[in-house]
Amino acid sequence: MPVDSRRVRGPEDGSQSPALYAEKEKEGEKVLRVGRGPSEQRAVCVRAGLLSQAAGSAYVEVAGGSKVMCGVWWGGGEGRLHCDLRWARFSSPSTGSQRRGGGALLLQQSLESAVRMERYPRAELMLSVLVMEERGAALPMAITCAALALADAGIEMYDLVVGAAACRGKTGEILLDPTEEEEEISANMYLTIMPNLSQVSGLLCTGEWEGDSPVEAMKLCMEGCQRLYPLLQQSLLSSSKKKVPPPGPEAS
Amino acid sequence: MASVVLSEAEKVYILHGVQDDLRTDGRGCEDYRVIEVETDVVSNTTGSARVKIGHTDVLVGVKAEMGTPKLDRPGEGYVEFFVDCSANATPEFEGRGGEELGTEISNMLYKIFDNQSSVDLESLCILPREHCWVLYIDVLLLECGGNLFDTITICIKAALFNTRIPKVNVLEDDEGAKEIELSDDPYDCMRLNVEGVPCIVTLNKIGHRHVVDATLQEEACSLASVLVAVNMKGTLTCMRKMGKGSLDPESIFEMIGTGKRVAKSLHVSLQSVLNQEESMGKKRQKIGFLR
Amino acid sequence: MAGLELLSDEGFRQDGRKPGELRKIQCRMGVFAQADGSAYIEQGNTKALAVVYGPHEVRGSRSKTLHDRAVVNCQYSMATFSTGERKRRPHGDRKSSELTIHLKQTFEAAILTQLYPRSQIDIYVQILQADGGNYCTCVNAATLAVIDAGIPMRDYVCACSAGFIEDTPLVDLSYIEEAAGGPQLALALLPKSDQIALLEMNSRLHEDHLERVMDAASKACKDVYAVLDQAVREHLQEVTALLGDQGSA
Repeated sequence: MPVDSRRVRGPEDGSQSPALYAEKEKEGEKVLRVGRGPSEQRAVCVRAGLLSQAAGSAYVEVAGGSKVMCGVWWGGGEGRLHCDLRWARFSSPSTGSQRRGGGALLLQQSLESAVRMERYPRAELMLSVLVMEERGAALPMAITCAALALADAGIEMYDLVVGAAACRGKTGEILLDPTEEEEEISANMYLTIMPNLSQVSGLLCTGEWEGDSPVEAMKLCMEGCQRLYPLLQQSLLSSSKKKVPPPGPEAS
Repeated sequence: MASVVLSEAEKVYILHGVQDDLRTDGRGCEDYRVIEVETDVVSNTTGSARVKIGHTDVLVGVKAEMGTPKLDRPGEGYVEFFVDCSANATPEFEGRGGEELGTEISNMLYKIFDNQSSVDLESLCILPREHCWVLYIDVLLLECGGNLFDTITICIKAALFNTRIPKVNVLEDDEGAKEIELSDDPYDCMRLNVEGVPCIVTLNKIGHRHVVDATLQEEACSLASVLVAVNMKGTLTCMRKMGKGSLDPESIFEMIGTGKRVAKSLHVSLQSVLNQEESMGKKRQKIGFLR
Repeated sequence: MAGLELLSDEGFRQDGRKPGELRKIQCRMGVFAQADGSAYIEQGNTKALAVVYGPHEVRGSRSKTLHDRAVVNCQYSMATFSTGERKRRPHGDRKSSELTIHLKQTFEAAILTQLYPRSQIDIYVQILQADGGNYCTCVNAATLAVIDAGIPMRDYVCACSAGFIEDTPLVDLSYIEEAAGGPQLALALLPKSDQIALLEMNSRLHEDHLERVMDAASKACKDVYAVLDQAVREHLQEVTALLGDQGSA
């Protein structure tokens, strides 16, 4: 390959990112939350039905946080729901790949409890979720986005699946909707529920949780999900209005 | 996992039994089957154990090897898991059939051990940034009779208790070059502290109640289950809901409570059995699979 | 390895055995209740577990079905902690695939497959600890497992390895003796009829010595047969006693 003289090539043998040798913040220092309380979520913007090629799609963006995109297609196989969850390479500066194992399983189980697959015995649903930016709590957002995309595609479900995340720091206080720094130093919980039915469809909890803290964290997550629900309903409504124009004055 | 085909009548029978706190083999909802534990079964390893609960049989071997610490944690050693679902358990696991289940189980194990209190990783470090002990924990699933996760974690705890890592001396030359020397004495070794190692308790929801240590038939009747990983001090290290059904939040709270209670007594009895086995020392007859 | 004698002047090997002596064999049948047949065998420090499922309908592709006999399907795998150095893949590498094919050939010769047309017999062998003679221990374990499953065979299949050091044939090689690099012969024999099911040799051996080594291996296989036969009869007595018998003891 011809050498490009305008580029400065890196050293031949492997070099590591300078970020690894940078001075890290001392552990144990409390990461202060700026601008919101411990049980407040960041503002969320939701759009359904933005991909014209897909049967259903959704996009969820958190203010100053993660961005997730999902599309649903009909496949050619037997009656099952096939989920694919990916983090884009550019989604986060550090590779948290080991922490992400099991995300696809949580997605699959959360959606399986909600989608009425018995109504589609001979159709295969292909669901693809892409996390474009990871700023903490992207996994539950991805599940919410996926459920919204399924609803947008008109697939029968018992209820929408809404997800929330919480974390518990070393001091014991429980924070809802953690940022990436908060997630890394504490124990995490991801909870997905079906708000109308008040049923838990997915739960994943890692790290140390002492005493009654898992119960408190679950209650906090459920409240967060309930608050998110009307937003999702609104976005579905507006996207279906766009798809089907209102009947004109001359109805024949 | 090996699947079992149940008729509707059998499912109803199990369901009604569980409502009355009486399962098909006579246990109560919170009782385990008979657990057989034996350590030091394979001599090529640094530590090994075999656990048999009912028809579920798991063999774990721990091998300690020297490696380089991870870049973001230079002062600690690390642990690697590998789960092999052997074809012995069911013909479906032949070739690559058992890989999916194996990856699921090993992901779960990584999550459970991914915190400060489970294994003391700093004791595995020899020279920061250069040398450390890497513990390769290999799980071999020999027979599947329901309740895999509990059996695997009990076996891992027993194998870690049995692990004897040779002590290391770091010699420094005049030029500053460091040399590692392993002690030759087989008894001069380091033991791991297994107090923080968690054990999973699987609670399956059958009807309106939940059961601990489900057999294959009971697992076929339950739509959802919660796995709770608790260590000896009662701290929850991991929790996960599995299965296609959805659960009421109240029942999850109950299950967490039951899981903690059951795990506590499980840890206590496991520790006493391990201590007893060790106190027998050389006189202990190694049984392995021979009886 | 320099300085390590495989055969001392008095005629003793590294572990104190004579050249024609086998390692201690301990075995048990019926280890797992869920499988159709299972067996565990320990030959010295080598431990192997064999499990048999079948005869049952052919799983997977129907094209493998044979109209007049059963298909014998084997898998040989080693636990990752079985060898001194940790093994990365339990099965699927070349050595395991080769041994799988050897096992299949051996048992196709011994099992009466014509009695089960259009069906499949699965034999899965797992090595828990490897200290030499892996293939032979597997064959012995698989024989016991097939008998435990009640599948009719022409005869027991007994296997033993043999080597040749300093003009003496050695029998039942351990890992150290195998790693020394001399010739190694693996023989799987049907003892009563003296028929060879599988014969494999590595490295170089002069043809003048071949007969002596083969004789030593055959004799060792017959010794193994005696041990296995004893084990099977004891197991049978145990099982019939449990089932309860009317009349004779």
